[in-house]
Amino acid sequence: MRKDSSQIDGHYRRKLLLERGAKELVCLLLCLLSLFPFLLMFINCTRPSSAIKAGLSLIPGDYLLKNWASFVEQCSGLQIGVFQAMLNSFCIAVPSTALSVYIASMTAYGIHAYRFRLRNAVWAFIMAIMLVPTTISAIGFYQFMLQINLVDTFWPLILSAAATPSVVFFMRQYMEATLSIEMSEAARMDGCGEFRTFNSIVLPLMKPALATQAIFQFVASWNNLFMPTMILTSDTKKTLPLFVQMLTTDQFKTDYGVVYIGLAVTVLPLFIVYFLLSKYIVSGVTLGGVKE
Amino acid sequence: MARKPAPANKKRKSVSYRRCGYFFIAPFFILYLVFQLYPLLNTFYWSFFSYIKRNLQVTIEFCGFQNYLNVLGITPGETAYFFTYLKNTVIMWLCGFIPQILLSLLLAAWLTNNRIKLRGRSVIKVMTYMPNIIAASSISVLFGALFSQYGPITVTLKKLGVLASNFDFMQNISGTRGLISFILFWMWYGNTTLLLISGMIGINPHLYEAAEIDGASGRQSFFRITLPLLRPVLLYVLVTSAIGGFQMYDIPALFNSTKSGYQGKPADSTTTVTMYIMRLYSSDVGKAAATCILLFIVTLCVSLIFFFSMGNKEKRHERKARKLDAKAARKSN
Amino acid sequence: MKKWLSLILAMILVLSFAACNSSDEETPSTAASASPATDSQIAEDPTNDGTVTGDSVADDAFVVWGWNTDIQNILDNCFAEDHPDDYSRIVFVNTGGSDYYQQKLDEILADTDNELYPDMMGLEIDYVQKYVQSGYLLSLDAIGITDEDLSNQYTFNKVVCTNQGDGLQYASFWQATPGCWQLRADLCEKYLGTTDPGELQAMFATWADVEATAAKLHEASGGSCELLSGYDDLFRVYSNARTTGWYDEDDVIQIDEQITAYFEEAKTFYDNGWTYATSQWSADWYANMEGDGETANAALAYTGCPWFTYWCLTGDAWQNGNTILIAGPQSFYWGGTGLAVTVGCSDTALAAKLIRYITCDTASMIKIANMNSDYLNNAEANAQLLEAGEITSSMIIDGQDYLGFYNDLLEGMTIDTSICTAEDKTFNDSLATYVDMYVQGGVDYETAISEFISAMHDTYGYLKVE
Repeated sequence: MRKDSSQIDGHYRRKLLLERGAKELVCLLLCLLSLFPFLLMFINCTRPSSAIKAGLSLIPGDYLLKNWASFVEQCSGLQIGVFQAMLNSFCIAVPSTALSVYIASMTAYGIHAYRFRLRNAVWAFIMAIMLVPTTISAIGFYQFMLQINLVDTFWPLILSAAATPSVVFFMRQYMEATLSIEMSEAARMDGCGEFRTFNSIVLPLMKPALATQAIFQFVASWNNLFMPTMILTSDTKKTLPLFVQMLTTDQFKTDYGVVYIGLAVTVLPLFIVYFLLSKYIVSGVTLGGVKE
Repeated sequence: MARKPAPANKKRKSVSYRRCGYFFIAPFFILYLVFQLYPLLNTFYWSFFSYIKRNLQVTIEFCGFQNYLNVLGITPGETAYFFTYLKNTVIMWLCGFIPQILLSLLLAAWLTNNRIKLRGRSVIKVMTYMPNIIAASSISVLFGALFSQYGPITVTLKKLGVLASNFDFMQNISGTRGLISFILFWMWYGNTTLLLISGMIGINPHLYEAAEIDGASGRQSFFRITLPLLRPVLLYVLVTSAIGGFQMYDIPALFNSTKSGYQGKPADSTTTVTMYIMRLYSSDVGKAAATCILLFIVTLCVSLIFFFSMGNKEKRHERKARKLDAKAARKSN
Repeated sequence: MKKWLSLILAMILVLSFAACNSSDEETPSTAASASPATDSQIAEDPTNDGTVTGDSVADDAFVVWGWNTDIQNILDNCFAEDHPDDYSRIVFVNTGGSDYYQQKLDEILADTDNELYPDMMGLEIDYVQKYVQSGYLLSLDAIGITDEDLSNQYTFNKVVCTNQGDGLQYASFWQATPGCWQLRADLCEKYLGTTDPGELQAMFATWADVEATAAKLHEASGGSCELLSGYDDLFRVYSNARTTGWYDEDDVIQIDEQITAYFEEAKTFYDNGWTYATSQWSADWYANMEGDGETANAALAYTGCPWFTYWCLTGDAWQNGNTILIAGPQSFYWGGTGLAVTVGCSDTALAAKLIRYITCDTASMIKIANMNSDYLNNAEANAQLLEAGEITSSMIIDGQDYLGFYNDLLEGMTIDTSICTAEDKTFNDSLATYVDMYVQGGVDYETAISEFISAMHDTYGYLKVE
């Protein structure tokens, strides 16, 4: 009797192990699938154009420096180098991230801590506009920017991202979970001004949330293609995605290796940042998700 | 979302501070009104003007709903480009979304399964989410390079005999659309998985215990407990993905498109609505604006439909779940 | 982890200040005018607003716009030597790439106060009419360029710059662009058995001959060497031989029979597998310039013109006397660029001087041709160059005199460029999608063409569908 049950147990365990193994294998394949295109990209950076044309290879070549040299050479005809494009993207992403996160926290705090009359209406409004993507107001936005002479500057891209309702939503969710009203009331008792309370007590408490949202806002701005395509016309002001777009133009078509190296350079910064902060990013994805 | 009621004795004090709230929300609302709401109204305004630019001379005239009638193909002789491009957009979105949601459900179920704990769960999450963080533009150009006629993947597949020797993804409608859908799928399933996992973790474990005691199989409890209770998360995923899908731009615009004109090759079959807007934004402002507004209406309708249809079911299922919950509570007692 | 995050946050905050400052600098109206110091910065640092060379704040600055370095090279290497004082006043704005060139020009032309407002600009044949008809240009007549100055220019290049309304010429081309076919000598030898231009021309004399040659090549190489990389290589051969414009005088869009013929020929080529069905200017298209035609695919011919030969056939396989030029089955042209003067031009005398130097005077044009080996819009200069025999190309096969070849080609050219419209560039760029539709998409000709017409009407609301 006892022997039987252990046999069944063993059988069951084997089955579980087998199932686990199969599932893990699938997951492993999915992980490889995520890496594979990038792996090919990095490998193709190091191969001559003719070899790339001949098919896949997982063995790096020794053409990296040559490809890089011709990439630099072909960039010189573009009026903008990849690093200038990166700097441009950075100059847009940093202020727009800082602004949007700061303003969103302020708004969320305002709604969280003060029971003003329109509070519920304001919150409903923010929930509603979360569903309105910026693309659909693009034409009016562009015409407006033409009017006030801001086309071909970074300002439209920074300012349009400064008020992001989803960040407000996220910040409020976070405050509900972590910030009691009593705390700010205590600060108030101590004679802190409202604004100082927010800056010196609330914001530090919000650090994890700020960081998470900052990352996502930064990435969203960094990767944006649609708006910069409309707004930026000078080559010297082009952002990284616009630079990537230029990789599909004639100058780069003659040499496959150069395209890969161009792509690799554009992908590398985010790649590094992601793997440094991956744990944080991955847990941040769901923090702002639906909580019922 | 239940809020703690403010303690009665402090209520009076906070009254004087209430108005401070307006100062805190003011910057957001000013920026929003100026840089997003006004542009939206401005778009609406422009959609009623015919904007003709010929040899650098611009003529702007009020034209009522003519722009709408034109892009919808209602005016005789006009082509319904809005529908054509909306169809392209929806096809590519669906072909990416359906496999994405299925795989994400499966993966989320695996990763939250306590009976069979997979090793390296965090690595799996990190790896599958990774493509989502990389710029869609870079990914699009990368796939374009890998799958072009002499791209390494195409060449290798031909050598292995998987593809016919004269096959070219870039000249084949399903080939190009399929790859665009695949990129969408590949970029987003990790994100969806993470959202579903957080939804699954939020489900009361007692429910599963109760179901197990009742003799339910893993599959049964997935379909009877997990899925119904996951509805809010699924709704969220669906709505955000659909809204994002309608705005689809980066990938089709860079993957296989004409240099100027923003037409998705081959045969205009991968042109999306936003690419159309981009094609017109400086040459025919009125028509571009009308397209924007139509896209807005479609976006709005779709999210409202989802909300109402799912919302009702959600309530039904919530009731059901509550009953189950009570049952589980009784049992565990 | 926390340390990381605070570090990043701190970084973001610090850098946002830096970024705000630098984005200030990027604002165009302040970029150049802010202080005299900016000029020296421009000179020192090529990445800072690298599009502008020269001192744009100077009172006597003369601004010239172009989309690549073509004009700049002429100014730097020839004009500078002969007219150093004038040269020092020139500010060159290179917008980099022709895709956005028109958009940028259109913006600045409306803004006469901008200090980068062009006094003069480069224009391409596919859209020169747009500016000719815009009212933003001065006619050559108005700046004192006489018919005699222009007497050596080829007629078709004068017609394309002429406003049919007032009969005046508003731009002046420096380049002549007779169309030709370029063949790779090693592949001709291997598969067609000859490298003699005359014999090869016989194989391309009519469209039936071209088809026979394509079939022969396909057979002989087993598919590793085709006549053309893509069927759209045929586009310019047909399109720039049209006898009617893209729309008629009532603005009704029309399809020339050359376009119909192009659709049919493209389909024939595709159905028979005589090309690799690449898109022009794509990476795959360029790749077919490189192959050896045996182990790696190669195209034997590219359709082109003088600038195409030295500008686009950059692959090693075409160098060292491996390129043969032939006329092909029909006469066509491809491209062409010139100069125009704006209504707000600050110094029309200098504008006239530049136009004469670059596009009229035989001596200076010969000097330019010696510098960049371009083919000139000046019959006299071309005749003199031929006689002098100084210009040779290392690309062209031994024994073929390429200047003489182009001179002959131009003489036989019967193209009417008065049919060029302001919207030609869009029409030309857009047609490819609809050819693909017909050739590969299983759509019949009428449908494909009517979709093309709808799309053009959609882009230009004032053009009508019949």
